[in-house]
Amino acid sequence: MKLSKIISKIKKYLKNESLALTKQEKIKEIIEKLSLKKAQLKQDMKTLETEQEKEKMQKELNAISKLLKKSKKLI
Amino acid sequence: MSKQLLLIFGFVFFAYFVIAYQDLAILLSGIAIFIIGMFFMQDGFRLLSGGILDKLLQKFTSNLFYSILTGVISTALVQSSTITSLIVISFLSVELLTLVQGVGIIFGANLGSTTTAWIISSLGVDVKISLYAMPLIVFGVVLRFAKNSAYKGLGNVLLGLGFIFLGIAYMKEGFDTLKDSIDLAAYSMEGILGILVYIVIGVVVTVVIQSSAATLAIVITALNADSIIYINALALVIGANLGTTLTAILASLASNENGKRVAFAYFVFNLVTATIVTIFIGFISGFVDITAPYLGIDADNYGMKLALFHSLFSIIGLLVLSPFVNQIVAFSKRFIKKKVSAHSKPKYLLDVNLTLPEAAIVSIKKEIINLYENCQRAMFHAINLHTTNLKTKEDLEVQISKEVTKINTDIDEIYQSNLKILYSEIIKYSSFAQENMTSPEQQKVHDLKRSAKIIVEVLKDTRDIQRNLNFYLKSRNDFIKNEYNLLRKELASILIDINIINATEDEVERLTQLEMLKSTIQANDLTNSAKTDKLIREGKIKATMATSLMNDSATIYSTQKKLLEMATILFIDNSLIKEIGENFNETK
Repeated sequence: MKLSKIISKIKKYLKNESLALTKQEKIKEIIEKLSLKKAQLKQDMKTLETEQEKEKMQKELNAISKLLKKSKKLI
Repeated sequence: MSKQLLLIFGFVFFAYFVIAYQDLAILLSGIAIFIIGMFFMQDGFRLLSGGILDKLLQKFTSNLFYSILTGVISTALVQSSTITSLIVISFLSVELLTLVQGVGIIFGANLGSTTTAWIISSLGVDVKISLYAMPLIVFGVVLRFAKNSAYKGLGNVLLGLGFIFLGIAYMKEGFDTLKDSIDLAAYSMEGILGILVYIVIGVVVTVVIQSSAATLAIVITALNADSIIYINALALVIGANLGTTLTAILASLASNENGKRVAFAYFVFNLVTATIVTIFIGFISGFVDITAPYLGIDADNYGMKLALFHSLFSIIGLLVLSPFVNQIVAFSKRFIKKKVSAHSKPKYLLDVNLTLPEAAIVSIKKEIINLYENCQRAMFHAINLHTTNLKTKEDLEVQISKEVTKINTDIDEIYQSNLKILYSEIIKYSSFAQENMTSPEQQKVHDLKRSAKIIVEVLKDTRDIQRNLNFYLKSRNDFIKNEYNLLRKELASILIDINIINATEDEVERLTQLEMLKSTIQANDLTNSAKTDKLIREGKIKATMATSLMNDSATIYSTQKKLLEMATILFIDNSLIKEIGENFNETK
């Protein structure tokens, strides 16, 4: 195999690795954001008075939980 | 409010005017019947367009010569160039004819219409076209009961022709008083001034009477009674030819740009011919005197000589202008441009961005959002909701709680006249932009094109439920009425929610909201289905109502899902966030 081809393969590998790392970091960032939001919502829920508002917030919590679950699978 | 008052006032004034002046009432009735005839005829040709009529027309108008010949023969048969021009305008509206073919027929119609003068001058009586009206209307109505769309179309054409004949007859009757009051003998004038004055009189009379044949009848009668001199009568014929083009122009106002162009070409034809004939009137008059004996016309038979002059007018026009039909068509296209509404004009598709992939993607995306906003407005109107002051769910509650007022919204018309052009421009621009793009960029544009397709699909879905919605919202059965009101609310809610998502800056927040909507619409679909079953079991709605409700409920659910897919493509830029949302769907 020619040296130039080996170098190109190494470069490509390194590039993919760095991309994978960036992707992981980004997912972690999203997870962090979602977790914070979830915690915030849980806290806000305690202060809510009407059932309608609680139901709406519960829906949001469910959506965040599902998104968190999937995000964690992507890491 | 002031507009409504003005309308009521105008109507009352108009009603008084019609009641007080009986002659005017007959005339206006004639115009109204004439217009109804036009509508029927246009509808008829539209229904016939898929049948054999287009093939026949193609066969008999395959070149300019045949087009002219078809114009001559058909006009001679129906005895009215106005009717031929109306048919041509109708055909052009549904693109059964090309503009060149249409112009050819109109040119021929000018010559065909001169046969009327021959008949009048030889028989001395006008052909009563109203005699044909009643049988045509009867046959038209009978054919409209047929199941076959071609027969229905033919029925509409016959009805249209019947009403047009009847309308013209009423118009003539209405103008009888006016016809009697025009004393041409009092205005006999010699010389160039006389010619010019009589041309103007010919134009005015024909425009008022709406028939060059009627003008010719007056002229021939006046000439036979020596009320006017021969040269003035010739000038009146020139004026009648010019005046008759205005009828076609009036008829073309309700037509598309091709209809207007053919009417314009007809006007150009008669204007140029009138100018030539006026300049050489002495020579042409002499030529009529020389050729008349060869046709068996006596030297003092001015009526027949006038008919010969009328025919010569058209023959000269055909000889001079036929070689320039393509140029006349090109000129008419330049003069009458296709009207493009503001909604159908692309705002963001700039040619300079085509070679810059990122900029092109942004342009396409913005334009699709523009398409969506236009579609959304039409969707709101289709479900009888006003878009002004409809920003939040609270606004929606206010409108839904009120009694439904129908908003006339023809989605097909909106799509054809505005949105189809915009959609086509987006697809065209995207295809060109994709040429200079990498594979991931091409994928992005591909997704955007899909979102545009979804937008058009949901608009058509809304059209599909619109009929039932309007029908059941007025039902006396409160259960079905409530269910349809709920469907209306569900569709409007998602449109408002999507607007809220668009206004949200954070993409994770946008995705969360989209996920919430997904669960909401799924839950709604299950609840609706269970509710329908319960209503049937309890006998609160009929089975026919239930099937409509089930179908429309399924359409709404499918529309909502499509809208969410569109929103994900348009409003989630980050590919990773998009991936989370998409993978989440798959796991479901």
